[in-house]
Amino acid sequence: MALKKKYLLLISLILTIIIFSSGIIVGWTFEKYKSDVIYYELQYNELDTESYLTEQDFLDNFGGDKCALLGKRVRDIQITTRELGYQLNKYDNADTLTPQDSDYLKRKYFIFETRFLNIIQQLNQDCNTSYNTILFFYDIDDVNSEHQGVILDSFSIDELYNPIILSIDRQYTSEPVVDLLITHFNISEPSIVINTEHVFPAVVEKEEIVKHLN
Amino acid sequence: MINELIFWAISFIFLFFSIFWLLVLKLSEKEFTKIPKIKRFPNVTFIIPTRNGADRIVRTVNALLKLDYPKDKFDIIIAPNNCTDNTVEVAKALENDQVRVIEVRVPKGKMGKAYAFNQILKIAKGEIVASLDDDSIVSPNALRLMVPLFEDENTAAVVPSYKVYKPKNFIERLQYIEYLVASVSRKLLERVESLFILHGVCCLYDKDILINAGGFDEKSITEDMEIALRLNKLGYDVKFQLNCVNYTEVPNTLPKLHRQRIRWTRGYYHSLFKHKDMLFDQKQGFLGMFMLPIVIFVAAPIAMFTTAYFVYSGLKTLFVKLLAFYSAPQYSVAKALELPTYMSVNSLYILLVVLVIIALYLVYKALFYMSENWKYTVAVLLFVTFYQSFLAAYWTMAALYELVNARKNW
Repeated sequence: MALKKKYLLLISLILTIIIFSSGIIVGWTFEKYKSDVIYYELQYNELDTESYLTEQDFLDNFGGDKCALLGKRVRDIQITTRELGYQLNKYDNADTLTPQDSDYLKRKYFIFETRFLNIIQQLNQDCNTSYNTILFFYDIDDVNSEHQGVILDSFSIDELYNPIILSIDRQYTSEPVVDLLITHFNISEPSIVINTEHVFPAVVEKEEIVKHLN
Repeated sequence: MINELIFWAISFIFLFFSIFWLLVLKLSEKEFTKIPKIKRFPNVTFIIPTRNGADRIVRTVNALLKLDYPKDKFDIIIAPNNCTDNTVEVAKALENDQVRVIEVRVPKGKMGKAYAFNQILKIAKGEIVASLDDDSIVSPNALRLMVPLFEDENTAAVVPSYKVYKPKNFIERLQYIEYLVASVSRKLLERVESLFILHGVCCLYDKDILINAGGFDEKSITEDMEIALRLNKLGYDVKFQLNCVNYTEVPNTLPKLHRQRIRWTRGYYHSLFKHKDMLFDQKQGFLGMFMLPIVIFVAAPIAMFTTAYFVYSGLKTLFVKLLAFYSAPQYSVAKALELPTYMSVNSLYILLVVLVIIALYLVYKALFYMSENWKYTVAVLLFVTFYQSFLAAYWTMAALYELVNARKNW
């Protein structure tokens, strides 16, 4: 019996549209869930930072040992910062967020990182701590940036050195804070800034980085 | 963003065709199991062009001699062409009442198999002629299953399904799965009156129709595909007998497989170009209005684009990973061993998983209709994933080969 090909094509098209649309809706819902997770994490960390700054103000006004109290917060924020940066980077590469969501989350994240950097600087000055910071200015889809990223990521399993690594999209100059950092450190290509003093263009191997850590 | 849109479009097209062929399969299942009854026994001549096939021809002829068909109703002609080994001697040792050996000298510029076949075609006694590769192994019931399909006077050719003969290594097992799926796929093409790919593992032709059509194209490197298009163009039917299973040997190394696929794909290009007037010709029905345009304007460009993209991004990723391994080996290994989390999953991945599941279902169905139990799981998994990309790359490689050849001819 001959098959009615036109009807087959039409039914196939209708079924494809239905399945495809369902897939997009499921995917969109999933993406929304994932971006909500990141958004929630960012908000939570913002709250942590606000809490820290409030504690600092309190201790400044009423006295107390702020260094001991605040020191332990640094490690918690460091871990979360690393995770958030990793997730946002995945989103950047996968183009899975809407441009508006991506823009909003990235701005929040970079602002949060800069505040964290300020906190570390203050801790090092006021409490005589020696937290190491590495500011990593990366370009998206750049081989050197990816290579440098892996080298910096490898510190996460390093038992000896545990610098605080803050990643900034060098080309995201629409965020004034990013532009400020780029201008301040005179960044013109993917680079790392170790302890806010030593500026090196990517790629810098781990052995070289370690020489400049406390 | 543009990359993502292109991949969404490609995924939509893949999904559409997967669903289309699933529907055709579902509606055709009763046809698959129909066994025709043979009513008469026309004369059949088997023509076996062979070049340096001394190690294969004996097995091929012996299989033919076991055919369940009246002995006086079929004959075999071995046509050694331009042989440089002892093929002629080995073939002549097989001569008897049913088997003849006729040597053919193939002139330069002609394809050996097509030329030799055409020479023998002129003197073949059979009402039906069969084209056989010298490594084919025909099943005893082949003629009983295929001959009845010539009851329809408009049938010009009948194609059997085929399997790989005793696969020994992984490359052969991959092709084993491929040939099973190809057989069912061609049956589906026949169901939508668009079968335009034949093969050399015992295809039967109506001799008069074939002679009137001009025989095989002696300059074509894939004469079986070219003749299929030509017969379709002339308004004849090409039928597929899924229940008749013949066997063939396949390339057992990557270089041999590469040479074969380059030849096949270049042959497709030549044949499609030669019969480009079939495109969008309403007289050609579904084949001319839909299938051929899809192959040329959708399938081939998609294959080329995805090949180029994956080669580029694959090489780039490999380069970065090598650099990363050099800089941080322990970390790179730890990262490579990490399982993906839910954060890695997005809509495109979900769609790809759906397509792989559909492909696995089609393979399962192919095994079922070809009377095979589930086997070679690793080969099946590779077949539905990487092997398709490997085959897709040949569209690009063959096009490049054609371009190079064109330049040489200037």
